[in-house]
Amino acid sequence: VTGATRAAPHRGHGAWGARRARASAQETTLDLLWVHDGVACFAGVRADCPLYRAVLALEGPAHSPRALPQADPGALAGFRAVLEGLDHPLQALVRAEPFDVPRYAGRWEARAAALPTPLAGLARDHAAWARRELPALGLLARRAYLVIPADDPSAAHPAGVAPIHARFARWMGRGPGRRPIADAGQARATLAERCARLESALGAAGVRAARLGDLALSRLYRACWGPSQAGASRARDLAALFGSPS
Amino acid sequence: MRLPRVHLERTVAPSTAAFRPRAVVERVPDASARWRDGSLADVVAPAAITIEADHLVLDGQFARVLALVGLPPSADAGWLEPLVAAALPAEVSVFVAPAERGQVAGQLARRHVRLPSSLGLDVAEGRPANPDLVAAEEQTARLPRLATLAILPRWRSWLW
Repeated sequence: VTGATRAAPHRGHGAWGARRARASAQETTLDLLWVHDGVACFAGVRADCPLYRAVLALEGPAHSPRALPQADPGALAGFRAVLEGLDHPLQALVRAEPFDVPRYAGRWEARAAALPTPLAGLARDHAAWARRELPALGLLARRAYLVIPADDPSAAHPAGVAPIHARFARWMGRGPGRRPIADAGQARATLAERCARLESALGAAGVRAARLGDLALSRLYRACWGPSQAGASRARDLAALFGSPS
Repeated sequence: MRLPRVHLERTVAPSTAAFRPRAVVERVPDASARWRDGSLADVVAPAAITIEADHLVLDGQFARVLALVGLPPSADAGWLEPLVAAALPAEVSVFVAPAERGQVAGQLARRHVRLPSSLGLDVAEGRPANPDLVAAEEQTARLPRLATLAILPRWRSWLW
């Protein structure tokens, strides 16, 4: 996820220190400073300029991408409008997560309690079938996210993929490079405005966007950084940290 | 709160022993009471990261990052669907950033100069023409003209 990994704070100063910080693959920090009010703050390369990120979880549109042009031509125009109106970088992330069979089956069982008897029987049968058959299939659920930075719009290139002249200018201290926002309040306001604008624009294209809260943000970063340990115990630990039910 | 600082060391020779993380985690405590002595770090941070030449190991899970290059100048809706919908435990990440049309057109013009040069070198050395380069040259030849019609996108993207 954008900003998740950064080179270690360089020991030197000036151009040599900056170059060394980017070039080193031997020493890395995962400098998540805090998660609060739906904002994740990372230390970044410079100690006085942290990086702020917000994440939107996406749902929709109702049709598959290939069927979308015929089924809902307006949606494509909506996506085009989102891209044309973009004045800051963003990252679209599609994650593949193991399908949560117990939760799926549990929802059917809970629903069965409210259904009339014949339908309740069918729902319980389906839940039992899901618990029996689905784990062996190794199903994956795809979830889409948008990661929005609070950086200045001049940060037009993700780290590592800027044109060579831009990287050279940054290395020489002449280019603007990334201009992070040092003030957390300002970053929070910028992120709120950008998220609201994207939610509205994506809504017009048939995509529902919801900003992740503190617990969901931490779970997402946990799942990205430690995919093999994103289990129930970790989820409970995170929920306990934020004082929320898991 | 700061997450544990991870020192990474490359191995000199591949080990045949059972997997053992090669990273040493050094905890950096945080003064914030909200995180209760850095317990968020305990939960969120991976226990170990190993960076090898062509892959990563995150908490014992092997991962590799591929950058998609040579993308076509245009694509139909849903062109990423086979990649996203495949039964692979893979993540797709697209970076999108605003760009000026003039800057994009300039880059395309430079590329339009480079590609015939590469094709000419192949011909001079008796190599068969690379079909990818031929196709790219034809496409970039058309794009600067499109730029004058303001059809070029106002954004750039990278796919991982």
